[in-house]
Amino acid sequence: MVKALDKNKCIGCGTCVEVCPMDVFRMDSKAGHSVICYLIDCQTCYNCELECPAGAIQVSPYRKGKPLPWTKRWII
Amino acid sequence: MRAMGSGEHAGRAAAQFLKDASDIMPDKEDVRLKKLHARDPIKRKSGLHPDKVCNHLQQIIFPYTVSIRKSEPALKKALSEVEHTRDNDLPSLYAKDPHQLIKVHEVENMILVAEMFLRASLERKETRSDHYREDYPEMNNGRWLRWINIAKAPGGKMRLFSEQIPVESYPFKPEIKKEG
Repeated sequence: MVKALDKNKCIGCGTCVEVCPMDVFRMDSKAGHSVICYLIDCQTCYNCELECPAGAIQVSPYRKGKPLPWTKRWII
Repeated sequence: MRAMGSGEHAGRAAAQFLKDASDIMPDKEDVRLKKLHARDPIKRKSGLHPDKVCNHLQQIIFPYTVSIRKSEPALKKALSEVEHTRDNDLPSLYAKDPHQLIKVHEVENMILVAEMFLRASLERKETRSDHYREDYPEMNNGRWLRWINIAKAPGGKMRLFSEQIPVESYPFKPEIKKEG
């Protein structure tokens, strides 16, 4: 999942917001850079890291977050 | 991988269909109702989190006897659970922001696809490729060299019907064993 977003390197182009299929990023227009909003939904596809023109995003191959259906039963 | 291939094929076919179709104006009332339905979950004050319903659905579909080594009793049980989820959980899904609204609509589509998968699996009473029916372990080209189609019947229910595969136009034709 997304490990780090370097705010100093981010140029605020919004590419990560556009390419993320899971809607993980949002643009902070006041600060002029993107932010990680929904990290738990990251599916580790590496789109953001590959497409970021400033090299500001780092993705880790390790994923943690939502319990998987065969490991935990949700109570509804 | 297969989903990506099917998706590309479906996308091309849909684009071609629209290109060839005459001008169709959307039904304004239908558009209004669809917009209302799309935003319903975000207007609710409380309800079920879409992740919970998604996880519950995965628990219904993932078991070995439903997705891999299929059998009629397991498929029927899963179908009744999916129908229960569709009728009871879908109307109370809640989205606190637009991000969760995306998830609500994803779960809605997943429930639809799960029901289609289970109904088609029950219908195909043979084993073919990764569709393995424990109660019908043989491939039956005589009866099942057919596509199973699903259409929306009046009242929103699913109507299943099969269509002969045009094998005569295929370069490699499957062997059809004569019964008896």
